[in-house]
Amino acid sequence: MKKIVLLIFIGMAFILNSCQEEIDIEIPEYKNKLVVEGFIENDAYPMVIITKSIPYFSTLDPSVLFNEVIIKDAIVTVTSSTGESERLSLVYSEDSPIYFAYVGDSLKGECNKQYTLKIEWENKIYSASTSIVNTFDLDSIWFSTSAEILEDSMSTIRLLLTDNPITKDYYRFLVKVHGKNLTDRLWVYTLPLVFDDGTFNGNTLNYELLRGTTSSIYASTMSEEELAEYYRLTYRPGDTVYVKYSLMDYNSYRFWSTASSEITFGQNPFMSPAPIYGNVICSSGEEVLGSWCGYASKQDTLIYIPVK
Amino acid sequence: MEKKILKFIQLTFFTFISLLSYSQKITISGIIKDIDNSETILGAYVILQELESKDEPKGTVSNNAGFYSLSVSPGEYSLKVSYLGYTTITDTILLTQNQKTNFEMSPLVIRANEVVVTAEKEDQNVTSVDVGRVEMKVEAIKALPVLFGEVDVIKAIQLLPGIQSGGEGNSGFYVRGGGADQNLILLDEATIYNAGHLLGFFSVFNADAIKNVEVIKSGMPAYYGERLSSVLDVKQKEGNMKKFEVDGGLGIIFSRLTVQGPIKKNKCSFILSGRRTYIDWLIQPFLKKTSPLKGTNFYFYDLNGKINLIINDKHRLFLGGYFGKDVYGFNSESGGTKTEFNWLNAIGSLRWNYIISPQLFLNTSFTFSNYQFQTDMLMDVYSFKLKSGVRDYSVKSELSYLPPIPHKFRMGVHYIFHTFFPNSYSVEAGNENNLSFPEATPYYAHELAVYVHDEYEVNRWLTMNMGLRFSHFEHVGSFTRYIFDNFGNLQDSIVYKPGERISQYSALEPRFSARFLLSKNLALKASYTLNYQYLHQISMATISLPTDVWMPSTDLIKPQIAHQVSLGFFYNFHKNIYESYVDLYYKKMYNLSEYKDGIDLTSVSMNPDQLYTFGEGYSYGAEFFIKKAKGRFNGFIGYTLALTKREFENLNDGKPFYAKYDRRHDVSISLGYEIIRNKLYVSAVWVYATGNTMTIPIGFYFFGGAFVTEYSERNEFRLPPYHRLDLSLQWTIVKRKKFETGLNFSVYNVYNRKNAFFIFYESTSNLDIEHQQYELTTKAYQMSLFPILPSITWNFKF
Repeated sequence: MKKIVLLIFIGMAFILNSCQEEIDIEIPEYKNKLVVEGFIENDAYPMVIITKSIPYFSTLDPSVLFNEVIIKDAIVTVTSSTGESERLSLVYSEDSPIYFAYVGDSLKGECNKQYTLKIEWENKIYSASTSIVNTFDLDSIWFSTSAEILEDSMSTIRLLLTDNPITKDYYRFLVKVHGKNLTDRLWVYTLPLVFDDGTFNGNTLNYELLRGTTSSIYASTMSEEELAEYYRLTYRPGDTVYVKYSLMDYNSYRFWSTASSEITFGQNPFMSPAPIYGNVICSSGEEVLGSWCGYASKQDTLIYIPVK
Repeated sequence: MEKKILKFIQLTFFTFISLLSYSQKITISGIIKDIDNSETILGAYVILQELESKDEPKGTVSNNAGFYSLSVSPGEYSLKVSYLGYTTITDTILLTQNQKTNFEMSPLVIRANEVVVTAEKEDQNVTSVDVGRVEMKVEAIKALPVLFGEVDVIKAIQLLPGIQSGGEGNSGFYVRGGGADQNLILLDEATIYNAGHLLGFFSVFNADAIKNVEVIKSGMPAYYGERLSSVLDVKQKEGNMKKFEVDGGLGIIFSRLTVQGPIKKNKCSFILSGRRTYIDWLIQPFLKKTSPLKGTNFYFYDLNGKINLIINDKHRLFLGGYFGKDVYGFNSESGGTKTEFNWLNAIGSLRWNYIISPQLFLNTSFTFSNYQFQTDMLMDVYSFKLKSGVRDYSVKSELSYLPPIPHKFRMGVHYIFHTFFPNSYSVEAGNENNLSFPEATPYYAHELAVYVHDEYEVNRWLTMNMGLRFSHFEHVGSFTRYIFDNFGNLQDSIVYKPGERISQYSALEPRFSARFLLSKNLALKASYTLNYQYLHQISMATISLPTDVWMPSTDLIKPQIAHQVSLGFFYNFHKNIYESYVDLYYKKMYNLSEYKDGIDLTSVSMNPDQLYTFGEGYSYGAEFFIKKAKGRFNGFIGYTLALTKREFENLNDGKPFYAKYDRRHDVSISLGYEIIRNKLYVSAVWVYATGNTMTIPIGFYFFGGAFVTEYSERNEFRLPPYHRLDLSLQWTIVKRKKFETGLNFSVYNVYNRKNAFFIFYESTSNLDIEHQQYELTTKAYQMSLFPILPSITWNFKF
């Protein structure tokens, strides 16, 4: 939706014979901030990616990424509400967008438990808490073709779920197409990133998974074919698609809903950017970006065999 | 509250008592008109000086209907009637009883061509008690250089200190740190909600149809209200009562035509004015197939009309209207996206003047105003429609009482019925996700004001304007209020019946200004006003756009309040050839509204007033102004040094931030020179302003496989300064009584300054896939709208 608005305004300026030129913006002293992308899921080990933010107009190349952005010397600990605790270790991981993450190998997430994250780095302590709620089941899920999809036998995915009327529920859906491409390595978001049950509380929701993409850091490294693959919204016959469906607590939802416009669309010159509500606190009071979230997830595998 | 009403009644009563003791005076009254076309003259001075007496002369000013009234002791007087641009009438007159004398004034044959942007009377700069009031003559506005040879009222007032434009492409104007919605814009007493065409490049006012323009930026008298910061009161011409007249202009981009004349000579007249662009027709053959403008509509037009009927000596009727529309459409390169947006203003006004007696004048008006904005977008399988608007019906009645004591009273009642249509969306998409967009229900409201105003000449040095305005506002049904819990769950909805009162507000607004003459050429002026504003236009984007929605005060949105004080010194020198002033002001505002963070145009809400957050603000500044009013070389320089800040609990972490149009410095220089008398006139305008504030990205980080931007504090950064030079040359080819024609050459933005319209960012990457190397940099770009634009217009009049 935001894209529509942006298009309107850029169009307006364009039609009035506008001129465009580069300008220099001087940003006053920039302070790098710690960025925490941490999450824990039921039946999975916690994963925490810790990086630093850098000035907006600075140049990013592999050495800057490795030496300045990725933080390799932090002490990361996760503790559960039932007393278990584990110190995470920095590993090379294919599941991390930047290939590095702090992961555990003994403490697994469980539903209905709270988890505290503690990071010690450069003599400061950062901490956050989250919880894993209960999982939910889908009524059904299937590949659906509809008239608007122009190419034959391409489809999207639809599902039916029945919402719990008693609880306030916050949903998230991720998809991954099986393959060895860079584009299929990571879970891809659906749009909207997260949503609540406000408009269908207690009812059955018939929902189409709109496969979205984030402004991927690797988009600029992809070839034409890879980009076409990355951005496609539909599935082809023979595709094996993994769908992960999750519920989360209010704080995790609040973080994702406030961060979603920045993550999905990026800069819009006409709107005042919204503050993002993360939950990581620093002992020295400095601002910390990102969040520590808990998800209650289940996963389904779909193989697309078109009906003739 | 009751105490205040009692005081109000007491004041009125006391005034009437005191009038009874002054029954020895004689009143001379009448109507002042232009001898050529019988157009009434507002603001003409009638001055009586008793012969063989050392008393100070007594004077008055003709009102909006050209009516004047002056009460003096019986005797012999020298009379002077003056108005700049007309030959002064002088006479001696013996007054023994009340008499009615009309005056017909002749336009000066040899025009002094004074580019007078302020003042009608020579020493008005010093003597006027209307502290923040500026009256502008249409001829003066016409002499300023503007784009495409088209004069513009709003561009002209933005040259005055204290009044600033929002920048390129911005249709609003900002007065002394107040918001764009805090200006009351009136055309023949009907409210205009969006006064801009083409993103504010032009205003809706066609100068050929306009008679008088008045701006009030402080010391707002009690007979105006509804807005906090300013009043722009524009009156249309009534139509030549004596003979047919056609004038117009033919330009490169658009043209205008005005026809006026008598329907019945000296009894009834009409005027009809139209203006339209035709750039969309002209450029079609030159457009490539892929151009966004190929085959689209892209134009704006205005239509002004008025009928003026003199029923008899005492009664006069005016029926007027305005209709204007903007349509801009464009298509994407592939044709997959079609967008069109249009907005329109329609107003109608019926006014009745009744001269009850030489001292009592009654003006009653019925007005209608309708503003609508709509966006239609078709993108692949999605069609999207966004609509909003306001509709007003109003009635106002004002009595002017000019008794034979040094008081001039105006009292009146004004009632408006508002209907607000906040953004309503309809989206039709190819898929069937049942996340729906509910329609926003209209808001209905009553607004009422009762006021009393007195201009009291205490003695020869001190004159005061005192007034009290009582205002009342109600939001009424039918309406549905949706109630959500903390998590955004719809808990309840309250349905209100039609006419049922949902919320109400009342206020007493005292208004005061005073002028103290320190010498013949120097005056000290001060004012204090308290204003309430019940309407809000909440701006989403960093620029003021027609998409900004108007909302009434409701149980969730309280009325905006402003206290303003001003203090200034006004000095004329060299026999009133030079006028100057220094004016200081301070304004404190409460209950200002902004959108909550994280809200954008597509935020769904069944009740839009739940999207706002509230705070306060202040502004202060100093205005400096000097003008050479007469002579072949004339002009003015204005400079404003000002600051305006906001403080909102829910924005910017509660820390104060600069308002988006906070302008530290604002400079306007306007110069004109008559090269050949009545033949060739050249003028130049140079403006400079500190850039608007912005929130900019300062850092970025990785999250979820994406780049996420980190922003500065709200409005912490500034755009580059805005400045621009315009030149224009006016060549009068033929100027006779029956026929006038001329050419106007204008160049807008002579040195092609690229003033930033907005700033956006783009990242580029240098890729070397083979060696797994990449380099990503982000740069800032500015987009500017109007480069150097020359134009020629051929003007004619017969």
